Amino acid sequence: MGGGFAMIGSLALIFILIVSETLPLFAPPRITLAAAPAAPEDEPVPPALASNTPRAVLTSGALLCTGDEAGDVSVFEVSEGTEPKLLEKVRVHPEDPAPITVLGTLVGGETLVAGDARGRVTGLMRLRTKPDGEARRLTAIRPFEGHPAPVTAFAASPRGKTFLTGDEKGGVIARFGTNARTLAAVSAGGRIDALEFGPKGTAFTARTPAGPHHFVLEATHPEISIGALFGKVLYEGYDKPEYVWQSSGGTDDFESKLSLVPLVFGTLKGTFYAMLFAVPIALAAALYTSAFATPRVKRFVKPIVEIMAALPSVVLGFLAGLWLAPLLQKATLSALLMVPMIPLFAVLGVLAFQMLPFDVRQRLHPGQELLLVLPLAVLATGFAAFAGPWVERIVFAGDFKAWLLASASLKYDARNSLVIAFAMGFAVIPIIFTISEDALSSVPEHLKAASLALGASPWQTAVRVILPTASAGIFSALMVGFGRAVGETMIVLMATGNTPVLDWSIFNGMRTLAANIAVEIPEAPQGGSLYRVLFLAALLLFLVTFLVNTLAEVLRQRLRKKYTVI
Amino acid sequence: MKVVKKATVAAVAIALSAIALAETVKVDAALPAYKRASGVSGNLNSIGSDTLNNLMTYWAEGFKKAYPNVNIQIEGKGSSTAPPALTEGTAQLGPMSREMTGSEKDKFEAKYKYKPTQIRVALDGIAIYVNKDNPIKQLTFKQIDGIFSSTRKRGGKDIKTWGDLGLTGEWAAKPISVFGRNSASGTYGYFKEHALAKGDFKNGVKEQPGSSSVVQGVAEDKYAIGYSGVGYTTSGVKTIPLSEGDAGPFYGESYENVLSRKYPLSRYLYVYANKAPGKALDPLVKEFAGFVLSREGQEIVVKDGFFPLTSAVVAEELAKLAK
Repeated sequence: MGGGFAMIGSLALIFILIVSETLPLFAPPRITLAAAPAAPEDEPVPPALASNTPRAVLTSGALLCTGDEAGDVSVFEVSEGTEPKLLEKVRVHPEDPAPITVLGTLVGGETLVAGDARGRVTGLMRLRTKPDGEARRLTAIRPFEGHPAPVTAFAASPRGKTFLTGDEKGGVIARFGTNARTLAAVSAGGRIDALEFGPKGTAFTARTPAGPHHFVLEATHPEISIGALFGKVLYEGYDKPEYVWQSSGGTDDFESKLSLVPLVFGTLKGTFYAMLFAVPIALAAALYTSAFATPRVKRFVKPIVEIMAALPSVVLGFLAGLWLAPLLQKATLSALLMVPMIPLFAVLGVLAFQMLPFDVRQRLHPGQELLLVLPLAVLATGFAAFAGPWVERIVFAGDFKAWLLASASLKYDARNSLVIAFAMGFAVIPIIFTISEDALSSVPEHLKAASLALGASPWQTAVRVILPTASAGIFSALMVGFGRAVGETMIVLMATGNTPVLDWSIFNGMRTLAANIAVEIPEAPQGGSLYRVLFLAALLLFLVTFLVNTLAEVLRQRLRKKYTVI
Repeated sequence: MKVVKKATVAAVAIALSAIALAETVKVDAALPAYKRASGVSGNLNSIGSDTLNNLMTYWAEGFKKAYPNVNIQIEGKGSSTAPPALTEGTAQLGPMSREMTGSEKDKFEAKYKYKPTQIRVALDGIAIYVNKDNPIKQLTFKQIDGIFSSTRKRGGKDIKTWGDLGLTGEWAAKPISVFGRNSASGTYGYFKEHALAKGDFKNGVKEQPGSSSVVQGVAEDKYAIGYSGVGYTTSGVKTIPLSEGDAGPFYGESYENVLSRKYPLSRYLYVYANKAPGKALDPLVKEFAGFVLSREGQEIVVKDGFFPLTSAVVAEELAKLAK
């Protein structure tokens, strides 16, 4: 009783800890008035450009953009020694043009921000016109929340995609470029002539006719929003909105892409393939061991399987990554052939056995079928290993992987889900086996005896009587196995390439939430966005396992009531 | 995970680097020899770059010979692990294979009110590795961008098979298997900034946790390509000459090319330390830095397969530490 409360208490404590590290992600940013100007830093604060033509430079491609009265943005290519060449002219709001009053670029020089006389603020990027082509076109991609008055000033933070816009009435709005999030707003009183950010991107100055006003922007996690975490975002350099996880780069102007969708997908993919491989094998083994095997076999099989469960997952991951993956790469077709060959050989062998005369068949006692089937399985594996290259030569013109790429455009990766299926299966099978076998064995003997006495064959008894009665336990076994597969870190870490792909193909890898946390936590600065997003990932894992186990327990109770034996 | 690298790792690394040194690189004769100081003992923690892992191990071994009472622990999970460790105080040395970003320096400065001290310790060129059976002769940056990047900021085409690079015969239809480092790596950050022009990597680039596992992946997979520091070359792979422009000239990896920056992916390797301006460095860190910047230290750099600093650079660094 006390132990139970201790467990609940510690679980609750862990939950509270994870939530407390995650909640600051969603703390609302604000702008506060600074008492004195920001202390002088190493880099001088650039003065505001005093000119009537709004202009900005897109640094990738060395392009100069200018805005005009008609609401158009012109893009010029400027290179040393030659005349500037007009590349394109784009109307920012074709249905309702207004003079462009402000142009600026976010740090990195990829995103252009245009403000016009109606107070509208729009983000523009040069997107590829064709997926594989080189031609790009300036496109309005992101409307930001507008101002009530014409936009008069712009400043971009040197440390990330935050930027400020000021309007004629004195309103200043701080926004984040990637997810179009409005961070905070403040009013400076008079017309904003210029805005300047301090070198660290937190303090800024708004110049009005009355004088400069100094503010501090407190926004620790501007790139985080539900849309950025779970929705499709159009990032700089990409052609369309996508789910991307690429958390860090070595430069200040790197755009952090923290979408959890590829990670959740990867977790589900890994679990799916692991269960696909593990469940049939484990359940079939459990059924055989409890219903058909002799006590000698049972005494010998159960401890071995339990030893399998004790293998550290690091060892499994290591073997999978360094031995199994290259082996599968060399003999892919043989491995795939094994799957149909083993059951086929077993069935053919059994049919052949049935054709033998009765007194020969009599020699095989019940429970000794293993002696017949095991050699057949080994033979099937040998046949698959031998036939693999032949099949590859005849059916796939000598190269299975090239055939895959050509006909199904599936790229074969050395570190793929097939390896994970085998390796994680190895880790999950013992769990499912042990619990299922226990459940099947604990079905009361009198049921089995009654069924056999009434003339049912052992198979009919096993499948129609024992299996349904033990279904609660089997379901519970599946859920525990599922929980283990979802949280498995080391095997996935070492056996896949940790590629955050959104692809169900069995021939490429994945990136799971657990492996992601293991890989990224050493480099996450404490209290930073990545750090808290990793805690969010941990929270997700925690909740998923919790929900799945609760659901499983509820269903298990229902099944137990349904199949309660008198 | 604190790992104290022992002689076995050193022995394997020696074997590897012996194979790597086709040319004998000479350390600048003007470099001073290391003078042993007295009364140096304690624990030294190093957390940071994987590229510098072997190098730090060798330096630690050499340092321990001079000061047997010193305990050095080295952890190399990637350059991005160094700034948080230095800021939190869990390490005194932060080896990095790229420079610290502004935001990393900001976080350090927010805690200590001064910027971290950067010490250049060696020269490196990031090599593009292909399997030794690969017939490819050279690559331009545009082609590298097409192989590794999904955003292709250099304006090239997407390159998926070896045939797209001009190879014929059995190589033409084979898809390129791409290996790279994980995002904690400074090599990853440097490669992204310089080779990919700050573009993004493709989703399918297999992220390996260490420089040697990238090389191992390429050595095992005939159709693979990867990038890593030059000190990790083995017999199963070869490096290829690179050119920044589309037409060449192509520069291979050699000491002269790296020193003159003609090899386009030349870079310094750094160790960051916490030094308050005006105050002396912690004596343990000071002696370690002195050892690294001495003739013995730079000879170790050559032994590991990287390139040594010139005496002019060493003099600058020593002056920085003496301030």
